[in-house]
Amino acid sequence: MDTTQGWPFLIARGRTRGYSVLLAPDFLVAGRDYGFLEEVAGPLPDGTPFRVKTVRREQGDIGIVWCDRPTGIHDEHSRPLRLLAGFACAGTISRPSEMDLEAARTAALTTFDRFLRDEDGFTVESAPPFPAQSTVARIPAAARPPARRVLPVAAACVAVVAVVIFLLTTHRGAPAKRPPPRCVTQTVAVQPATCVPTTTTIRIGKGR
Amino acid sequence: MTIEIGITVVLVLVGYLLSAYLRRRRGAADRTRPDPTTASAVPTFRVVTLGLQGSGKTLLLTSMYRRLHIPRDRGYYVTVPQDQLVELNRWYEQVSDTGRDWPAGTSRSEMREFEFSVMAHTREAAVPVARIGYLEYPGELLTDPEAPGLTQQASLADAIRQADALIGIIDGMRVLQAYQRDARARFILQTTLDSMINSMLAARTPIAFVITKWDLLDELHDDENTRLHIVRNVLMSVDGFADLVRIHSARRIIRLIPVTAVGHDFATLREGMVRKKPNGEYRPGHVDLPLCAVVPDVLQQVEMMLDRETRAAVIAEAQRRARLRPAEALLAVGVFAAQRTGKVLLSTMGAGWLADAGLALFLDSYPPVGQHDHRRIAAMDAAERAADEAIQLRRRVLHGLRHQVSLLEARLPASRLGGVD
Repeated sequence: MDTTQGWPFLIARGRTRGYSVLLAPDFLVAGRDYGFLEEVAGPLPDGTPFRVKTVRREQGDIGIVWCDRPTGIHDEHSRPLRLLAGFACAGTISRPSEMDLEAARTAALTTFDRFLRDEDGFTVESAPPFPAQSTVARIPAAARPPARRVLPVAAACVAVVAVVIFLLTTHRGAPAKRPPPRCVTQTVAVQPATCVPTTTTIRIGKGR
Repeated sequence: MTIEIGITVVLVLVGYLLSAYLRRRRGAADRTRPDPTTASAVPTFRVVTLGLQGSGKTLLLTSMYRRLHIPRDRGYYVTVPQDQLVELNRWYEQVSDTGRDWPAGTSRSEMREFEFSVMAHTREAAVPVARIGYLEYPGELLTDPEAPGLTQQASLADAIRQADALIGIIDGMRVLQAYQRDARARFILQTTLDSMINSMLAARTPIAFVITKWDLLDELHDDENTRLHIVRNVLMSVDGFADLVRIHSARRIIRLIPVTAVGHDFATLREGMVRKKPNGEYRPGHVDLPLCAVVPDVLQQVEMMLDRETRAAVIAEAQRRARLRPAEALLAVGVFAAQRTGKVLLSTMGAGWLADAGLALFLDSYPPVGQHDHRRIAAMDAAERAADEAIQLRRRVLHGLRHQVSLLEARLPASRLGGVD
């Protein structure tokens, strides 16, 4: 059975340093593609326990859940430091588990502690996965192209088919120089198949 | 025969899919296009603030809006879209409540442009006179390296290049500490100015340096102008700042505007932390001036860049325009834009806020000479009178904005760092 995995992440400011991603899923750190977390996971209005979003990336959809918690610590400008801590899963998170959020917060706090001890020297930490309890809907990336690209891609496919048919027709369009059409069984024996299977790769761009 | 039918069907299908795609694209473009009867007739000025994290950009924005959202005795006020109003009110509640913390600072996810509409009332309705776009972003974008995959620093650089006015935000607390010979504060002040000067040296726009947390500098001197002189001297001693002022002072407007986003009796500096007083009174000071100065300064900046001949031709056109009926004036702008003087003016102003609406605003900024033309007005129908009233209103608002700036200069002569007085 396929076990759902979650990866913790943390976005926070320090006493002197501005907002940055301090902890990110290991596969995003390895792929140098964790910056988007900072753009997507922002502060939440008072009374909002958490927020769920799905982000489309090149490797497929990534679901993220995060909460916004005070730390009781202030920066050098007297502003309160807050933790935007949460977890990411492959797919769309339909029902986040409080246990998963708690696990992510625990990991985030440990990272934040290390960050506060050396803000200037701190670099993003890589978070390994943990077994998640949240309900996640996984949809293969190729099955969900961006809606705005469906029509031109479909048109292109149809156009390719049309061109193939056209070429085939033109090729057959010189009856005087060609033998008369034969029955199907004979055609198969004499002429190789002209239908070339085509594969359409739909690339899902980076960014939201 | 079957193949021909197949091809026809396929081609019809391709045509349908392509036309559906184009329709969808066109629909999206139409939704984002402004209403030609309203938005395009009002010039938009893009303002970008340059300030490090914690310098007080968000508090300034909040208090600026609070100060300008009702007309008071000015005759104009500003509005923002509903979602931005909600956000500004939320910040205001947090700032002004002495029992709560200061706002937590802007994150990258909150970077966006606030859209201020400068409004005034005719007898019939409230009409927009100008729009001011004000970019809100986290200050660390100016100094910290960007995480992989992010492009906001490039967006900010573009916004700075395309800005019609730049506002440099200088943290008053750092100025105070630097004045008190705190080496780290002086280093931060240097970093602050370094992050701005590079962009500003290349800019052709008016520049306003805003000293935030002005209330913390009260202890420097009782007299506000003397206090500003002290701050000015501190800044002039920082590498690069004096150079910027010297280079720009000939043909640019550079201001030094002290602001307090909370008032002089709201917060106190204790052990390096700014704390709200339990019974502090929220009374922002001068916060409206950086925004009020934008339109007059941009117009004046353009005028300063014109040669004598072009300027005389522009004034002549403005006087001629003042005698026209509104419909004629509307047509005249287009004709003027195509003439030599109009082209020179357009190229001086640059792209962005201008177009016909900006050109009309610039021409209307010259006060008409002579008596009010009663015969001209008597010949107008109701619609023309309403249009004429809107033009007069625009003149009054421009006059009001200039008046605010003149008051600042009269009260704080040290606030003008360069340009033609």
